[in-house]
Amino acid sequence: MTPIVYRKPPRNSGPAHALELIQQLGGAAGVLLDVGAGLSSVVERVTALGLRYLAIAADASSCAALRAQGVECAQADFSDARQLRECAGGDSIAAVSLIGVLDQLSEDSEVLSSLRTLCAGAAIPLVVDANNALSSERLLSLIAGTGGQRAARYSASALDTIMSESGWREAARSDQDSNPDGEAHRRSVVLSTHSLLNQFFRKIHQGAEESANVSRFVRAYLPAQRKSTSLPAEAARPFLSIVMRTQGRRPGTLRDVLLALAAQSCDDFEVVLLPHKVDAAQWTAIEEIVAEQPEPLRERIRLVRVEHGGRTTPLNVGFAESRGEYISILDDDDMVFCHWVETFRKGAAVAAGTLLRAVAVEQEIESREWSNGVAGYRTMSGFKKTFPADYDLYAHLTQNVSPPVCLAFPAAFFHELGQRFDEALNTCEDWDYEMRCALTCGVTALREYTAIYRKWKTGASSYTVHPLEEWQENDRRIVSRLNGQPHLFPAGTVDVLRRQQAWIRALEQQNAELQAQLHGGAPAQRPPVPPPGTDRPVRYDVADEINRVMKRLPAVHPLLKASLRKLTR
Amino acid sequence: MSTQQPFVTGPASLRVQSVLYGNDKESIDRALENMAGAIQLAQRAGAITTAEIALGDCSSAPLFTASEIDAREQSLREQGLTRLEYRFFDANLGSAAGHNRLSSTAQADLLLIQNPDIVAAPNLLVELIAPLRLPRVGQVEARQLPVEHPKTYDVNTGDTPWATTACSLIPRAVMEQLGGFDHETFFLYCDDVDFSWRARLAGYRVVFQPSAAAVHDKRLTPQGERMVGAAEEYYSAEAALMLAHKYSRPDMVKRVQRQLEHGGSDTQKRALQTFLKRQAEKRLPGPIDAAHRVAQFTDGYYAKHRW
Repeated sequence: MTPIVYRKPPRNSGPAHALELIQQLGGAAGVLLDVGAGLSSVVERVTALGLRYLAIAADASSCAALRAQGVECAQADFSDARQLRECAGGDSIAAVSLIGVLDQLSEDSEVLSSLRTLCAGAAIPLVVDANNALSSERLLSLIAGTGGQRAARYSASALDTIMSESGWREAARSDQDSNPDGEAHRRSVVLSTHSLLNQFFRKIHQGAEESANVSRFVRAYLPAQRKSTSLPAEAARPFLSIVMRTQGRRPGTLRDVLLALAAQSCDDFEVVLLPHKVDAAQWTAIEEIVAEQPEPLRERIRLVRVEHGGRTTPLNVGFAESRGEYISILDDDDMVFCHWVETFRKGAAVAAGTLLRAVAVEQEIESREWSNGVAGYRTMSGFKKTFPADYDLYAHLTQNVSPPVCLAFPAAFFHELGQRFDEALNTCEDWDYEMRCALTCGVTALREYTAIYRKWKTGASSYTVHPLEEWQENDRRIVSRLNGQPHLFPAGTVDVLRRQQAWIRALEQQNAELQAQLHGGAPAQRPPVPPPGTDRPVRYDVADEINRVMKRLPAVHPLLKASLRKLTR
Repeated sequence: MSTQQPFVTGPASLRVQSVLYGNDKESIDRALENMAGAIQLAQRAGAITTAEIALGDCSSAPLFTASEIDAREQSLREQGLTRLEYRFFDANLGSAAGHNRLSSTAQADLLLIQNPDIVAAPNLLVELIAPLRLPRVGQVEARQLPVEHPKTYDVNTGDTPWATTACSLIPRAVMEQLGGFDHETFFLYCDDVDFSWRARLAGYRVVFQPSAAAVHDKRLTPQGERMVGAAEEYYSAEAALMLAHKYSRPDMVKRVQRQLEHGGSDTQKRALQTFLKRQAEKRLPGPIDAAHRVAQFTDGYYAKHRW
């Protein structure tokens, strides 16, 4: 047998949390088998629970030392269930504790397996603890280089994995939270919870790691079936996962957008199609539409039915299902050009990890039943350049001018940083997510028109389904949350803020002069202040004049008009 | 055949034909793959019997070898395709002459005239064939994505002033009755406008079918405008003059001529010179539609546009 490597645990390693769990699950009589003697400092508190305390030490010298302190102790090989059982003598085992041990063991699974053998027959609880290897405190201390870290081998997920693989299921927990206080925290800008750096790190880390604030896991387990958590061999990941919500009410546009995907110049994508709260007939119709698709596309579509939640819920489900490096939201009434995926992929090749933003035009449509009885639509307008070609992060703080169809989110923002859509939002959920991603990952503007955002002139849409008050309330919620957090802003921000501040001061001065003129002061002489970064070239004025003339000449051939426009571009 | 009799009364045979010019194999394969899916669905629906695809290549060098075509035909036969024909023309005939040459050997009941990179919706053929079960319908046009053509159509009947041959279904009998496309007059653009107008003069309806969708890979410029290539600039200017002349609108010929002379690009002025030269050499077509029954010249377009 491989020898068990065991070093003495530190004393006083949070026994109160372990005792709480022993009291909760261990019953009121019998022996507490304290493997590793982690609770030897609180024997009286164990006996006060009505339990006999028995420490188990791995070596003779430790055993002798404990006995010298008056602690009842036996020596045993932790990975030998029979030896452990014999230590208890004829007493029934009420609970087993493994406190301050897991972080020290090199063969933890063997010990956990032997303890399961010991406990399985009588469903004896096991209480364990382990330092959180991924606590914010620990990681910040590593960054600060303050050292003095205790051994830690487990994150929350790693602990879950080894316990379930060893045949244990969690029954209760009493985790110990971090206490970010003390001399080191007052001296270090990294550790101080008052510093922006610390706050930003914690914001990111708390999204990524559910147990970021836990310093020590203290958990009780009961014997269970062993679970194999080994991951299947990872299939090749597509570049893009396309998350598509549908309520099954727009078969016409759904067919169209799937057709646009069949025509993509780059087929390195998968589609997660999420029928949301559809009835049986709608589900069948969607299945039939998918079944009709050409095989290369059909094989890349996964239907994931969502029966719960609001409008935002399918996004979280879809993102969780996504396997791509990037994720895009493509609603069932959107339309994309043939280089939509290709453009995102080119963007990711030069700026991986950033939020990718191409450009969409807007087009009005209205619902209309087609001659085949299908709920179709009629296009009502040409393309409107509603959304600017360049991405202005600061403008997006007041209004979203990037519909989801022109965005591709790095999948890691969801899967690694744990950022979820806010399911309390039934409108603006995309804006909320976009801003959080933009302020964490940065944005790469691709300046290529790749999509058409459809605006319904008639028929139900989010504009008609949700009242104005709901939009306003959601807007307030999003802004309030953004405002309550520290953010990263890209290089160049200082210049933007300085220009805007200068502009505000100039406007204020101009306003003061106009007020003075209005009330009998000296007349204002200066020309109007142009907004920052918008110096207007003379050719724009020429173009305006030409356009005015052309509007008066409706019979001018469109090709001639196009040529004139080129001249003024 | 009488225009009162519908061209389709039961399952019909189909020929899909496209004229290639400098295309890439990838886009042609994508088009073939999707068209095969549409054929399979139409056959299952009982709309078509046999289906063949004919490609006429006007490129400077053949895009496909014989074995490459054999391999594709073999693969597509599993989805119901009867035959894949590939002809290298060894000359740039233009779309009108190219389609005429391809259709000259056609035996199928219906001809789907389309651009080579058209990606068909699975239900494209089923939907395109449906209006041909009505009397007088002589041409059915698919709805193009992502850039839909703005010309007007009747929302109830689908009637439209003309149909683009980016993707149009035409009974072979109509094609033969009209003598195909007027390739002597139109090389690349407006051959479809002319065909539709002649079909209407012959008493047929030209119908736009919104439920029949096909992707035509058009993109926007970085300024968000529709991309206009040099060929389109030249041939559409030439075709504008030709159409105006052919449909008995000398006033319109003069107007377009003036506009091109005074504001046209160099490319457009070259097109004007070609027209004037043909005019001087008396090589223009004889004017038709003297009563202006079908031809429309509206704001520089050939139909009223919806936007």
